[in-house]
Amino acid sequence: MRGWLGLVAALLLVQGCGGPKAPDSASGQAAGTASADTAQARGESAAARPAAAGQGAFANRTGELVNPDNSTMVFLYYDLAGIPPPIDDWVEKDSRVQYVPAIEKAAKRAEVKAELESGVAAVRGIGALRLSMNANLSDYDPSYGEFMVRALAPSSVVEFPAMGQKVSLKFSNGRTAQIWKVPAAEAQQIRDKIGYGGNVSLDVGLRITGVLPAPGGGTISTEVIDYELRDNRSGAMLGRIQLTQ
Amino acid sequence: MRFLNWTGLVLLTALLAACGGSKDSASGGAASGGFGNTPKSAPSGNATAEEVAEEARGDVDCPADIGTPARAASAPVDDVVGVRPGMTYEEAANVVMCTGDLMVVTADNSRGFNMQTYGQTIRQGFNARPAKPRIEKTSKQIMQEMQDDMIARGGNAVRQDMQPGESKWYVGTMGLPGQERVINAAREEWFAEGRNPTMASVEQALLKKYGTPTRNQKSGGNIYLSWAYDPLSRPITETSPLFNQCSGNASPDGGVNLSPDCGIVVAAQVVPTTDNPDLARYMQVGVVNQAGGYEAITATEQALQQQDNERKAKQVEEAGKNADAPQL
Repeated sequence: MRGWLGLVAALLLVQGCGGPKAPDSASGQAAGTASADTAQARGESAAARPAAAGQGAFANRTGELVNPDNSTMVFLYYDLAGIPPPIDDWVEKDSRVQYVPAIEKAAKRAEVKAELESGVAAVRGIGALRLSMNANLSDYDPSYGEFMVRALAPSSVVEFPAMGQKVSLKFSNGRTAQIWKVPAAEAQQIRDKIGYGGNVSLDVGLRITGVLPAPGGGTISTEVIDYELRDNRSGAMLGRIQLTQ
Repeated sequence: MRFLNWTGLVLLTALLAACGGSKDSASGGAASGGFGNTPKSAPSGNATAEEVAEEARGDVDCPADIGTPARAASAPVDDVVGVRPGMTYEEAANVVMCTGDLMVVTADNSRGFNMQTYGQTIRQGFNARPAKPRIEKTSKQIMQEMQDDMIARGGNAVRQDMQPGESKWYVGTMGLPGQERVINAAREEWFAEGRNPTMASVEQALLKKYGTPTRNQKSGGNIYLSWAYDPLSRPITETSPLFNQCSGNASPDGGVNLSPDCGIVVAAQVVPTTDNPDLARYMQVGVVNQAGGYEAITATEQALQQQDNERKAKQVEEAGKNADAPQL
């Protein structure tokens, strides 16, 4: 679903965090301090961490990422799971290190490592995400007076492949979050706006609620907090939904 | 969406042949299909169907003692002759065996979900069908049967799996070893010759039990009915985007689809006799809790992974204390 590929430098990472609600570097650092209560800090094993990562385990994470790239999500996964990121391994597999002349390898290695370490540090304290994607909106169901935002369905998975890992993101409250209740009279207006085969974009706010490590990349569970739907052609706002907590 | 993965045909030589024992025995259950202990030796010699059933069933209490909470009054009807998603493996096996004195439960390891179990054995389901007489055959008789079968196959002869008056089951289960619970169940019933009910009466009986179907089709003389619900237990109407997504399977021999977007799905098929399309020859009814099954598989995988991680961590910890140092 997401096509962003490749390693992104720390500068881009900071830019990725720089949306309207994204934390600035200062708040990112502050959040990083707040997240010092990590698995390693408490002396827990990486295996024991997921069991403890239930509701509220990430409550002290206040930072937000806006449309993070794949690499950032991999960094975030390692941070949430409390697993030390294999930075040295990533450095050796980086094409900039692999294909640079031998005489320049040491310098390039240090440069790439600094980038990665900066990226890892930037996601500390992140507890919320805001993503834009296709809503995959269903047609109106008059039986229940609702559209279904299938991008938020329980089966929906957003994947972030980077650095030999694939981190998945799921919506723990998708069962109810996907339902957009609309009175029949308004529904017709919305259908007219969208048109046949319309393309609707989704801008969704998410709170991180859990992480499940797995070989090759784990799964980050999130709770949908709110979302906006827009018609892609006209840019018209179709709806703004705030989920009850 | 998870798809049932048929991992190949396995000879089910270890037919249930156990007696007594604890119903909670995970190991015994795994070997014998949920009830009783593993037999010390395979039974041999001629035996009637009743004797075979007695060997296999052991002590069966009927009606079955069910500890799983009953279905909520507002929830959709989700049982097949008493077997419903959420029951424990042992409860389901008990209910199934109570449907007939000759009904024998057999653990089915020939099909199941393709999942990482970290070396543990999960009971992913069982078959049940009436016990057959055990007849010891001479090599000559076996050769003759093989020859007859070969000729029959060459002539495209129809060989029915079931005989009139018989029924068979498949119940799918998932969970940690010893804690498996039902996620889907299907039953096929062949009506006794001369006592076939009408197609209409079978359809009416199904409607009476399961309510108004969300899908009702008649094709080739067969009746296909479906009662599909979303995860919020709301009927999936034809205007729902889930209408063509959430399907069930009535046959005990069929696979099962699991999607977290779908809830309970009951499917039924009624097939007429060949000489009178108004009389029912056999009926199949299946139920699956798609979201529940999906969650059960996910939770089981996670729990097994957690256990394996803990095992590895413990081994590493012990290695730090007791392991030999390399000689360099």
